[in-house]
Amino acid sequence: MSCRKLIRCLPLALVVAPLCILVTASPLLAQCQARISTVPVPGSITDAGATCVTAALVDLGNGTVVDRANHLLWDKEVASLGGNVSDYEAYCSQLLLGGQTGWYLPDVAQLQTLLPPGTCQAVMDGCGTGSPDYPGFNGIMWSSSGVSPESYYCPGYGCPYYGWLVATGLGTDFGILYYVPLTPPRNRVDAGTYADSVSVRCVHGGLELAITVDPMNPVAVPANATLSMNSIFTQAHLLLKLTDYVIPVSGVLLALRSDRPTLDQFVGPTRNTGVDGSADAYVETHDQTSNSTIDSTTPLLWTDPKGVVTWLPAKYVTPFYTTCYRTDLESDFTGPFIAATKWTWCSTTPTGRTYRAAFMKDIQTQGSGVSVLNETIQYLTSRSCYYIASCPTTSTGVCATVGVTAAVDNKVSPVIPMGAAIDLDTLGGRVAQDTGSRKSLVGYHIDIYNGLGVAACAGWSNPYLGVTFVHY
Amino acid sequence: MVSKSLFLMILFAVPGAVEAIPHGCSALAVEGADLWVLSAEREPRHVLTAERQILAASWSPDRREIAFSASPPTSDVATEVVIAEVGGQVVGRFKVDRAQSTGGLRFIDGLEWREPRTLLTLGDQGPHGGYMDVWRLSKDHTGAERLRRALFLGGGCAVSPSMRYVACAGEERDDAVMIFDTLASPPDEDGSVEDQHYFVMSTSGSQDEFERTVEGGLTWDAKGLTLYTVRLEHSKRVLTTIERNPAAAEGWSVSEREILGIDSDSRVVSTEVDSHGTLMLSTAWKSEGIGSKAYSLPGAMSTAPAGSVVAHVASPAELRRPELLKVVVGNKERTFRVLDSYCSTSSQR
Repeated sequence: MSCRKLIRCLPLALVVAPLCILVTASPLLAQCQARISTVPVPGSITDAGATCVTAALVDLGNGTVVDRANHLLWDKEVASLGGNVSDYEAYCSQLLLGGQTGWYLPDVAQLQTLLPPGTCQAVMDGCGTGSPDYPGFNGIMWSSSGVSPESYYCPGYGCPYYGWLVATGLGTDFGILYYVPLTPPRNRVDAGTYADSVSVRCVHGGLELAITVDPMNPVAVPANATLSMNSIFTQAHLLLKLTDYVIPVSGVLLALRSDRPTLDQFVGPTRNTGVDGSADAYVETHDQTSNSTIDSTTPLLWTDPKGVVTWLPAKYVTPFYTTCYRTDLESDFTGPFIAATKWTWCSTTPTGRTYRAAFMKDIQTQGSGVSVLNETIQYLTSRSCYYIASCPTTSTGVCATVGVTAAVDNKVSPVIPMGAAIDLDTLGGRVAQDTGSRKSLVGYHIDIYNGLGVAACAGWSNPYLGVTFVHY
Repeated sequence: MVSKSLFLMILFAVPGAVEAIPHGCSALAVEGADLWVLSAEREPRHVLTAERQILAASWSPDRREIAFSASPPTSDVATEVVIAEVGGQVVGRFKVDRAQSTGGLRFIDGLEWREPRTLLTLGDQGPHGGYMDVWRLSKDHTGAERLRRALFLGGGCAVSPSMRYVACAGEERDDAVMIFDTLASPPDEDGSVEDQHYFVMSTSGSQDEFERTVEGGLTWDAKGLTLYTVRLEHSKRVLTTIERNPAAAEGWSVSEREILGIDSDSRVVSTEVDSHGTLMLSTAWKSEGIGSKAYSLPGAMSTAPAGSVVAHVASPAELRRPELLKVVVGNKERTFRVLDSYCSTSSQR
């Protein structure tokens, strides 16, 4: 007798039975029979590993449903399959769903979590003492493919039309979950009529990574921070916890990604997860104007919860010595006008022009000046020559602008990257567009461009100001 | 002597004497407006609290007094120098320049007390340069008279022992070294030497600012006729020697030798010539800026032909000029910026 024939006969004998043990097609007969003596029977819930925690199901919208209470990930749709258990195993193992591989047939304990609240234990209560189809008579009947329901778990009920074949989780035999609903009320939906195929719902037994942003390590620029070229600036500490949904998993080197890959960069994790499943890493950003969501790129691992870094404007711990610089105005100077030929010009000597000597000298230290004829003159120290420019030009090539331009150290001991937007206490926003001479503008020192003439820096007291890093 | 070292040393939880400072050495250090003396043998001693943060300070040659840069806490900064006894009592003060709103210096970031009554200041006039002033102190040190003023361009300047030459590192995009001869031209009506022609050490001509870097500042030999600097060019570290040579076209001749033996993951943060005439380098880890090693270059100052010079790891005690120190004073950890240091003769190598 084939398994199919066995099942088909059961409804006839047990017409009142609400449950069905659906066994696979006839080719499995030999296998079924061979397994009868080897099917381990859980003697208790503990043996089965049941948690009996009511599922907290959330449809992730990607074909999977997560049970956040039991740390399980379910295939949202069941697959109607023929074949035998090994086919179902193969189906699950080849499944790529929700970005995850590593799916497999659920075991008893995992199946129990899908039962209606309060019925979890029913699976072991004599097996088949209830039915999800009938309120007040909840239960689950289970079997391996080779086990006769009458002989094992459903005395008195026989074979109903519907049922679950499940893995015991304790041995080598597996069953198939059949039409267990994933949305409340989780009474089993009608599976329709009996068919030769079975419905398989796979579960993901991979690892779960929880990422949290360390609240004790707020996003801030550390004291004495230094910045090398192209390095990042603002940093958040990430706490990582890797579990097999419940049990810590050690020895795994994790890989992370941000949803802002061009703005964020990771430092670490530098070590494998420890015995408690934990590791840590840092994420650094160029830009604090939006949040970063961090998850894992490690295969067979999904992230819940993801790390969400709410980047805060990072204020430097160390205040900045804030000085003022200007573009010279020739009208501020006295003395006779002298022909331009007195000075060395980098390219063409302005013909017919005259300039005040003191003005030209001061341009050497200020960098630029505007003549009474409204020419912008700049000095190139390395070549000891002057040239006419279209505007007072910064080292980055843009025109120096009042209210925008700030000069920073970007070489000796840089702490603000060139191009960065910053916000200074009492002064407001500036952009690091310029530099100064080596070592006179070093580290926590900002030089603010304030316009034309000595009056531009009148009243400037060289204050120490707090600086907030915005982005770059 | 003004510490131009950029060496960064971090020291945690050191009660009592400052262990980061070698035996026999002391450092003049500031924390904001507070001036301290740190010593290898004694607990840190607070000297005084200035009106504003101190940017430059120097011991007198006899170590009995301290000069430091100051600016009154007014809205229109005028640069001044204050002379105080090591016990903290202010002896005198003198103005270095007029207020910056009228074109005066913006701040003093270099100060060296060279001789009992001679003191020099390096003031910042603008982003690209400033003035070196040489001062003669009054007998009672309550005031000073300017002897000389000379323009310099660039930064990280080193003044020769004779105070004739001022060597500075060039602008951001061109790490040339410039040498200003403050006696080459007569002073103008204001007593300022500004019209000077200066020597510019031309480099490879590369416009890639990242391919060449002056590392660790500039240092003169005892005679003040030879200048040393370490430059990084295309990941190769080079000792550049600029020597006074009247026969040379520009009055200075330049030679370069590759330095071997310095860890590739560190950067040179200071150079100095020790009392034995040996060129010393201090390095810091590139990634952290924390001090790592001291090296001596025993052959660096010879007139050997071009080639290479091998750096030898020296005792950690040679790292005696840190820029920053973290020291626990009482129950509080303080971060000090070292502005000057000295070691007694017996303590030197």
